Amino acid sequence: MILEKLKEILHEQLGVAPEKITADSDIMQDFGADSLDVVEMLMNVESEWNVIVDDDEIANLHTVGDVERLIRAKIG
Amino acid sequence: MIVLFFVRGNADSDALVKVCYEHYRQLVGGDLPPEANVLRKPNKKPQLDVEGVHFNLSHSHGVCAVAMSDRPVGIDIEKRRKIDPSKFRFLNATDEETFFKQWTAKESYLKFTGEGLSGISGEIPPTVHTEHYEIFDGYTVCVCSDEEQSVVAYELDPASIN
Repeated sequence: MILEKLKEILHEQLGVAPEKITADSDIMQDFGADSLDVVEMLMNVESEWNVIVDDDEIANLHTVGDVERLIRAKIG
Repeated sequence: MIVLFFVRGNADSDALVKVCYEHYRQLVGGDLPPEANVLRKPNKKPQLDVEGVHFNLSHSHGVCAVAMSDRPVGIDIEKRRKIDPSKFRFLNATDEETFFKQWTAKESYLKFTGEGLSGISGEIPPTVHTEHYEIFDGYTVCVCSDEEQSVVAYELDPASIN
């Protein structure tokens, strides 16, 4: 499950408890992530699912659900 | 002039900006309205509803930073932590100190233009001015503006932010 794996990534990277992470969670506002955290997370996403996140896609990624949908779209 | 405000904790962004505006208005004087509100549009840089006052906000791991000025401004604050600079090939840093200076410079520029992380691989043009500051131990701060300006900085009491 993509969402469950994203929770693992965010837990490892930001120390957020998995039960506090939902699809509606705003990565910067709710978890206190900064810009570097976001880019590092996306690097982990690229590595985990073997996808490329283009620079112009980053601006639309605010919630965990946004990232999940992006991954789904890229892996088909 | 650029006025920088810092506050520890996770203050509500809009409430913080309103408090910063109150202080800024007292500092610069003039005929600024007594209150300001943050206007947000999708994929646009947040603005105040007061003409001639620009702001930008950044937060990182327990510290919020606001830059306010009569000219467009961008600010980035990052808590320095262990990273692998080689993973960020669009920067040329080989050590962490250089990495955080380059990262915050780039981020402050992207916040200045409003394009955000979508421009992360681009270059900072020579037409803008970036300046780094050491405000809190362990954090790197960079401010970007269209020209070099005088800067004053204040730390706010978290209790003053609603």
